Amino acid sequence: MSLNVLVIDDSATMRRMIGRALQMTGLPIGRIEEAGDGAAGLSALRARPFDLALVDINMPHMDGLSMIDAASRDTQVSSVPMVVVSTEASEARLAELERRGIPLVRKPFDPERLLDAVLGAIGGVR
Amino acid sequence: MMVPDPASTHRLLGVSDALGVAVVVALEGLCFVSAEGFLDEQPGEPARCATVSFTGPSSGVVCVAVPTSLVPTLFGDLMDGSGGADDGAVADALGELTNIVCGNVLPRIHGKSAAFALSPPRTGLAPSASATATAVIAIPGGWVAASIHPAAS
Repeated sequence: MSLNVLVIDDSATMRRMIGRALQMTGLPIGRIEEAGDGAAGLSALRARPFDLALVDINMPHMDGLSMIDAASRDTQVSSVPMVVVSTEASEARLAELERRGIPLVRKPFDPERLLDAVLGAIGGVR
Repeated sequence: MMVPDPASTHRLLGVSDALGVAVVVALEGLCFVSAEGFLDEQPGEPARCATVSFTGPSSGVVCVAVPTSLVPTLFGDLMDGSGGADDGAVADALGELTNIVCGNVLPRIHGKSAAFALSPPRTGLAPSASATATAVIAIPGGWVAASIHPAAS
């Protein structure tokens, strides 16, 4: 089974890097789609099935945490595993994400770190 | 001058050194470029710059400047094979580099418990306020400069 992934980040550069890194993890990556903000990401999640979403925090229109909150309240998409990929990694933010069971990958990252986070989100093991 | 080891310098350096380490980390992680050392000041050649504002325990602006001549080399691999010709792609890549520098330098200065809100990157607007810290990193073929400025009053 391949993983269909939605990458949500306001930087096209970062979306491209995340896509490349995903391809380097060795995971069976299927479709990779992109969204430039939380609102577009939420719409994409509702429009098509995804196995994983990688979400930036600091984005215009709807930030990543607001998008995750909205997704968690929507039974249509609440089961999609999320990974936060962000420069922001204060202890408070880390604790909040840990409480919610959402792995965080801090930018910049390498494929190994991304792989660990993705496996943590989808329940896989190395 | 040797570049400090990012893994061993957290909270041990002054602000300018912390800024330099954050730039080195960002360059290695985003652009796959290794630093060759620090320069004393920013060379006077045309440069593109991007800024990210931050608010939290302190407020201000982080600015990152890259010489125009280095842009294709530094960001070419990140820009969808366009070879660096697309201005929007350059702005996006430089903005993301600045975002990563900002996000990495603040915990090195204020500690990991400090929470900051970062603005989206803006390009082409150098802060008018004098820098409170600067770091100029020599890399193959050029340099990358970063500075921290107080918030506009």
